[in-house]
Amino acid sequence: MRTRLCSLGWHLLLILLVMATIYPVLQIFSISLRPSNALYSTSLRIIPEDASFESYRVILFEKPFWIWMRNSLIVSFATAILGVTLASTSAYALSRFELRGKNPMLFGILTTQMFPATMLLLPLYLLMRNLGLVNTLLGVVLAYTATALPFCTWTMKGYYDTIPRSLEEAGLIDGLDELGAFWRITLPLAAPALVITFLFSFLAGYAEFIVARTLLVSKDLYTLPLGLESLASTFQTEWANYAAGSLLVAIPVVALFLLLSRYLVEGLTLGGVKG
Amino acid sequence: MAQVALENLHKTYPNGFHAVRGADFEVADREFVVLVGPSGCGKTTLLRMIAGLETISEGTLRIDGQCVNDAAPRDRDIAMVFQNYALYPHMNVFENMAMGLRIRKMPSAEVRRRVGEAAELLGVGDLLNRRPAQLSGGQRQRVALGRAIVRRPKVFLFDEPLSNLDAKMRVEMRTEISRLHRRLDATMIYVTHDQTEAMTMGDRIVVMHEGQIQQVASPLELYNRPRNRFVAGFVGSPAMNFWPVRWTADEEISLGPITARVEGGLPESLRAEDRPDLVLGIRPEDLHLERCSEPGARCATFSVEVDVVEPLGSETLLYWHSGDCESVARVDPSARVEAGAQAELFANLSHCHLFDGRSGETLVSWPQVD
Repeated sequence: MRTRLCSLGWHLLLILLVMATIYPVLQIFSISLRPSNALYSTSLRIIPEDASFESYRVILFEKPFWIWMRNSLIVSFATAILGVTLASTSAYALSRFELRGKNPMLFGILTTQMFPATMLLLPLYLLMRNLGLVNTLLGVVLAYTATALPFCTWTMKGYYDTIPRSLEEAGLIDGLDELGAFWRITLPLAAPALVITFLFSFLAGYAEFIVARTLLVSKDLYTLPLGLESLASTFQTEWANYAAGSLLVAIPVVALFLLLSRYLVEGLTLGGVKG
Repeated sequence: MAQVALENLHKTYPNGFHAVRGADFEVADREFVVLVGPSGCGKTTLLRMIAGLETISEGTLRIDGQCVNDAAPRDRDIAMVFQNYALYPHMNVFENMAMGLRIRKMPSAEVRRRVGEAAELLGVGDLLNRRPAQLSGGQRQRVALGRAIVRRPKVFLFDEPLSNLDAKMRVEMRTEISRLHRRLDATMIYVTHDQTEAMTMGDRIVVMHEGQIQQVASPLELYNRPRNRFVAGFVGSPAMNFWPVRWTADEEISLGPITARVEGGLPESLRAEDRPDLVLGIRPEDLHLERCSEPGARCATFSVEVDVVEPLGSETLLYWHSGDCESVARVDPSARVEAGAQAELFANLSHCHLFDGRSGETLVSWPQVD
């Protein structure tokens, strides 16, 4: 009886937490269906009486949504690919080789994470201006990669440290060279960390606003966060369009998570292997 | 198959630690050599130097007469079995075993044939589609062996391959590796800290201590004629007893705090070594509860208070303290000795060893005693 009560209590708590998590999403969904572009409503209904998908149509076909999406995907994938490539190789060196000044280097990398992003805006802008990269997607990609790289490097290093060196040594004896052992043995085994690094870098680019706002000026280079922001104006905001846009923005990220979750789960079971 | 020659090999780490000090011996073609010693004695480092996984600080390493000091592991034509098996977790058993062959671009039909043969030989034929995580410890070690033998390398290296297995599986795999050696007729170098493994498997044994080679000899020679006190104490289980010894009178010697009678006087070879710091070594099996029946044997007789009795079925071990060192006798299982009782022991001096107390060098070794 007591365990049943206990279990009931836990389930109630979990239901509450789930509701707290999905309520904002439902609310946005509800707003996106309102034809009047109204933010507030006196009704508690999730699907309003005169619900329509008009705002989705407006966002998809009347606003430059696809340009924002294309820019965001270019920036995010480029950041993710660059981030994974640099983090996986540099972390390997930091994990496997005895380098002079390795520990100070690791702590230096960690320290950069302690600065708030807004503090970096001015130096980043000046740097990009000197490089002639202001108002280019490449400039944004470089800025995002630089901010995501420390976390990615630490994650990758931590994961490499758990992969026994003897696996690579077995590869060396089997006939691989150092690079081959890294490519064919260590990297496939580090797949879960690679996925986390990829997702982190991807999101660093996909949902970022402040750096993009600072570096990008032309409307045809706007990423999704900038595009969404442009829907809001001083006197009137089209809330239904805004909400519809927000939900559409979330779709690629959710898809990516679903696609890569298999590797994340696999990573959890891989740790049980002894050799 | 091949011979391996180590010529004055040294390994010094950047922090100054001198892990291997002048290793110098030769492993003949088709020989099974065991490197044995306590933890941290440098045996694994030496094996890794042979494999090419550690650089050589000084000296020359030759495989089949060719100096391979600077050759990469893949160019040495060796195979190695690791302590933690080191199977690739993301590949199944077949892929694990085939990896070395595929890297060498062997035709896939030949790869399948060789892997199949090795898997059958090791009894893992029905596990080829499994991942290492789905195998037991013993099965993983068989796969690791299989991965080594499919390539038919010149030299097999084993780095404590059985130490992760339980006692029963260890004995099983031990005989399996010995059988494999006979069947493959291969040169094998095997590292272990377990002297029983060393004694049962090796054609010759290399005993190491603190980076230095103490003795290179066959198992029986090592047992009967240890070069120094370290080897004498390391080989044999339970370990040899060591007592400081003084010749006090014609028919009397002192073994630490214990006085022993020697009927018929000391053997000449022992008496010839007369100095203040002598250590007598005698194995537990050369201590008896009855007078030695061996013709011409001289016995030292003494009395001790036994504090622990361990009946093992096939034998009984008696422990007592002599001065500050623990001593042990291996006696007949039918003996009736109680813990706390006095026991009269007969030490067969014809089987004893005499060591220099300071250098530890062997002065007299059985059966040189007359």
